Amino acid sequence: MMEPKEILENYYLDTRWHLLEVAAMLDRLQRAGGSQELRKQLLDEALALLASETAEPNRTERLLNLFSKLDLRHAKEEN
Amino acid sequence: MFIIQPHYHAIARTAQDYERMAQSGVVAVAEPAFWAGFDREYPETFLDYFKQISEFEPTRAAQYGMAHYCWVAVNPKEAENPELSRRVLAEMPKFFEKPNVLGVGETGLHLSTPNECAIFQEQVEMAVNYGQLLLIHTPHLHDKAYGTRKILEILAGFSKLDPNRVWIDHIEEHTIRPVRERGYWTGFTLYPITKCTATRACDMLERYGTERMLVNSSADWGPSDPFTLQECVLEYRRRGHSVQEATEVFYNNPCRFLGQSGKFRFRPIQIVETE
Repeated sequence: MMEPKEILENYYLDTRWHLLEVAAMLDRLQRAGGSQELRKQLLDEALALLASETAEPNRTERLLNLFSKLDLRHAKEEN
Repeated sequence: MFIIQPHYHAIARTAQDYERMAQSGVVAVAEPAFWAGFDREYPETFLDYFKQISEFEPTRAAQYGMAHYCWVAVNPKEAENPELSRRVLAEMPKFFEKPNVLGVGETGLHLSTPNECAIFQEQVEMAVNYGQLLLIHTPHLHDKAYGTRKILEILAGFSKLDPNRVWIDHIEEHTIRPVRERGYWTGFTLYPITKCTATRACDMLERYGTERMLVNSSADWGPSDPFTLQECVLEYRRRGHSVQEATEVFYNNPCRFLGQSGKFRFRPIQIVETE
């Protein structure tokens, strides 16, 4: 397994690039007037989730479960 | 190193992809039956398609020194037409006799409708009754979590189903644990946007181990790239894994799973330095 410094060296620029794309998309949406729809709410929750530190490194799993809320047909069944 | 591409829709790709795969070490591909991008109207359309992937595609692959195997199934999307599906299912066993047909696949779920679930269940039953391997597609994006749970629920109803002969594909971080816990083979499909990536697949290989893990590109007629598999090989090696460790994942594991069909001629290898 790579050391923390190696991981940052190998993935920092790529991650920075992905985050800039996220920022650009949110800017684009805001310029267009913003949105209150579910997808935007999920993106906001996702960003908050990413920023939170948890004991378990499971952000990806939690994000995928969060995005599953778009499965509205089955969300009703499960609730 | 040698690579096997275990899930690849060759029918939708050009000869140049075969050429470049061969140049990068791919020695065999396996092609499941899937949705063509439109809903077929006649059972004969499916049967001609099965014929194409079991008879013609191997000749294309052979021009580049690659072996080609395939699967037959009614895919989850078209399972929404149960009357048509059952007419196809009635003809499928004939294809199991062909020397390069590995089993039933890719079946599974798309939107997890009652029709899809019924046809999926019938194909699992067929695989059990005819002793065939099973390749299962889990839904895309936000449909995946529920659909995977539904698939596992349906599979649990088959007491004679050997989990070691079942490959559940397109697994991601939120579906991997229940699949692993039940002893099924796990597939990571490396697709831009809608599925997994090379880095995430490597993360999961490191977290959960490499036993019963398969990696594939599933390249087809949509935005996809057969070389995401090679990208994953490179990423895995970049993280310090040896050539043998990479061979375990990208060559030996496909041999182990697909070899259970009795038709797949490649066997796991051990790399030995002679001097």
